[in-house]
Amino acid sequence: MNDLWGHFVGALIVLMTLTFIATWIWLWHSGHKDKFDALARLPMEDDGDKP
Amino acid sequence: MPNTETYNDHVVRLFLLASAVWGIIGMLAGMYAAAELAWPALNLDIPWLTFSRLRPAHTFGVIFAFGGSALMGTCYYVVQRTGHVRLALGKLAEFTFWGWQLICVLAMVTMPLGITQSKEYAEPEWFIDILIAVVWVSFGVVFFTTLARRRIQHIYVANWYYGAFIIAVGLLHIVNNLAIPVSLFKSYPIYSGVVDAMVQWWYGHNAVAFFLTAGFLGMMYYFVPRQAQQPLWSYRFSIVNFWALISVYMWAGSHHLLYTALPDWVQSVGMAFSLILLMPSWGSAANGLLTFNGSWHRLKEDPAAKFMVIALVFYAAATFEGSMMAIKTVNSLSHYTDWTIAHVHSGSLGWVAMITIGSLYAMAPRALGQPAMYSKRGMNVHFWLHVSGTLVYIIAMWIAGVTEGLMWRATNPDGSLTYPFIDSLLAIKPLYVLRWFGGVLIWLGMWVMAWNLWYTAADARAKIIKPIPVPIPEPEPHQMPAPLPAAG
Repeated sequence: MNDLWGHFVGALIVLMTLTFIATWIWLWHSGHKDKFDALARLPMEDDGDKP
Repeated sequence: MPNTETYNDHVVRLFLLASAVWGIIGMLAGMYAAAELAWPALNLDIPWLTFSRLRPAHTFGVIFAFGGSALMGTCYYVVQRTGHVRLALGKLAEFTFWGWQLICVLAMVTMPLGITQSKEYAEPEWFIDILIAVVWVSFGVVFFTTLARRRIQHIYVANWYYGAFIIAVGLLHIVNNLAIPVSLFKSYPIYSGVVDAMVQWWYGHNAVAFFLTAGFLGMMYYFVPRQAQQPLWSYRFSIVNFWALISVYMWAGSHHLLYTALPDWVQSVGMAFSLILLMPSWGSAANGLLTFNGSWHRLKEDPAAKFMVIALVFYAAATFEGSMMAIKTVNSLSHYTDWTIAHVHSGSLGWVAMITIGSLYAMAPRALGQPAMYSKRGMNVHFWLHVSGTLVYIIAMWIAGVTEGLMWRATNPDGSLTYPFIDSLLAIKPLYVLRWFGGVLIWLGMWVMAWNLWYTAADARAKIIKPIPVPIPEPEPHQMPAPLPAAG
């Protein structure tokens, strides 16, 4: 593995780690709570689809 | 009600029927192949009955015909319910059904005749591969068009999994099957040597990842909360697990090629990613199981829920086992032994088949216009046949695998092998008989399910089912794309 490739791989790992952490922060942002709570209930609505 | 938009469950019912039929056929092939390993004379000296030709028919039959039909049927069901919209492109959706069935028939006929690419889980020859690509792209067009027309702004997590399943399987299939045909029934891959092996196992492992995991997780994320009648334990966690799973899985394929001519660092990458993979796998298993918190009593009264819970337990167990087996030192014992067979069937019979069966039992009454399955006792009989058959199968293969691994590596002080190979075969023969017996129990269970579905489908057969109206929600502010008006 040459030096340039090593730096690229290192930067990519840092970038992916930051993206992963950012995803967690975004998901746990309180502004999404209502929407996610509603979505968590979505499959239960199927019971209302009586023929 | 001429202006009422209804769900398109016709194509869902077709896939449901196909899934039940292919389950019996695929598992029959597996059961016969298992019997041949215990009693080799059963091949009757007939070429198309030999183990080598029945085995790919079994794997194609259960993975792509049984599992594929169930995945496509549930996908069409779920994308409509979670988007509050009718399935787009109804005729194309029906084409995907008939096209997929044609592919399954062609594959199941040609492989026993010896027409094969000899690539594991990608055996069908080039002309079938082209058909698969056409039908798969059509499947994607139907799914993503329906998704684009949804009336609920956010895309429910099950659809993320189904979407990843469709895109990744299409990509894997096309890249792995690039080949030069030399006749109608023969082609050669454009790759050679170790590159061919790596491409094959990049495909093979990601067929497990995106066909046998992502697709069935899509099923799980919809049908588990629905059957538990509880909201998903953590919607946020499901999104984290989705991105983690699809980011990590693609890199784990080389663990199938440990101790081969593949460069050592590529093998190490596969091992490392396989260990990381445990986190999103257990994340989804935990999310599914915890969704049943407060609803465990349903296991007493609902066999479909029982199938789902045991499926999740097997998912957690099989993914833990898979990560451990990817460690080089463990793999040196397990590779080429029946431990691998135990692991694969712990995943396929324990996780994939049970989440499928649970989901089919959950979906079938709704799709067939009934309040419940025809026979709850039949569902319970199926549950116990399947669970006991699976346990017999995998315990027998675990013992056989460890026995083989230990006997093959045993050496005398002078460095010679302690046991001739035939001794290991004789040692595991009773376990092969047990494995076949486990398969028989599972196969009988599939017949019970088919019988139960047949009677549940009485109204469908009489064509007196009333289509289910799509509930049209109030549009969300600033919804993009704008919600569709209710259509007739």
